[in-house]
Amino acid sequence: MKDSDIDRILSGPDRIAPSAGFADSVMEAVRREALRPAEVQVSWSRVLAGLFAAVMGLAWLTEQSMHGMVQQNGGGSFDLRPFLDAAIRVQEDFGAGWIVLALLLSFLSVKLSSWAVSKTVSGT
Amino acid sequence: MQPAAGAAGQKQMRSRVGAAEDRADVDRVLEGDISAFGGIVRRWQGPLVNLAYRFCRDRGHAEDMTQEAFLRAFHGLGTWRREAAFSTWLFALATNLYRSRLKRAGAVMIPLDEIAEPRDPRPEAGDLAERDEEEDLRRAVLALPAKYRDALILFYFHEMDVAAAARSLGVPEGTVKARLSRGRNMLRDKFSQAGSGRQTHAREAE
Repeated sequence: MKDSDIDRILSGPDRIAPSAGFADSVMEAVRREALRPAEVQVSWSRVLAGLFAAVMGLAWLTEQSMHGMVQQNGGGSFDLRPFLDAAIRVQEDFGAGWIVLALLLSFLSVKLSSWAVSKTVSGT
Repeated sequence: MQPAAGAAGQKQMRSRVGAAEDRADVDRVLEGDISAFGGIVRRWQGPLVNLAYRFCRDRGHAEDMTQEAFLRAFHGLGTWRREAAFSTWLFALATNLYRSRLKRAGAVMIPLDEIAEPRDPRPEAGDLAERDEEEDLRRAVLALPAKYRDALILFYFHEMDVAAAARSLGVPEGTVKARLSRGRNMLRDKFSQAGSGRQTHAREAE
């Protein structure tokens, strides 16, 4: 087979006409889309900046509260035990472990469902 | 010579009128008149459906992809920079969409090795055999690696205009030429093998 044969065949009349009513169905879809509220555009740069500011603020607050506690203890070394005791009490009183486990399972379930849906949609 | 020049002139004139209509319709849509998008759809539905069909060779799928391309165009009209023709922008958008849809769906379902093998060693009626070979070649294009497939599809869709194919693909003309050459070589190799296979079968049958 020569280049000229390939040119002849691939540039030959191999055309289809859109189905009757195709333009109407496109316009219907366009009108539907136009009626939908515009998606909120997520500005990731702003999200990251906000996250960074939040982390810095939290770090500053933690540093300040620890500094205050050290001063309360008369400038001695900082004792973590009261915090650990409080955390264990919260865990026992409210079943925090179960709450964390439930949240993790929910997150995994949502991720799994969206993955399955995206696979089904791309497979059709 | 004159009729050809006349035809070219008419084509250029039609394209200029079409470009002006595109610009006017886009302006109206951006001002909020959604129905003006209908003009764009009517003018471009044929080319876009045919381009999609060349990528998938399935009418239903081609129309689905074209509808999605129009919806994307509708949402992205504001991003069309007027220095390029509307058709260039629209074809580039549609080409990107078709390529990504095929990539997601695993478009090349038939390996190149399984394309264009001789169907039957017995001689077929001339027209029928020729039509089969033409269809085999078109399907073989779809089985090529994506970058060669896309270059070939766009080149022939744009009536063998390398510059237009390059604009639709968003790559330099030299890249398109190199991919066309490599793609054609692959097709030629495949079909030479199939051709020699046919001759061997025919000799064995005798």
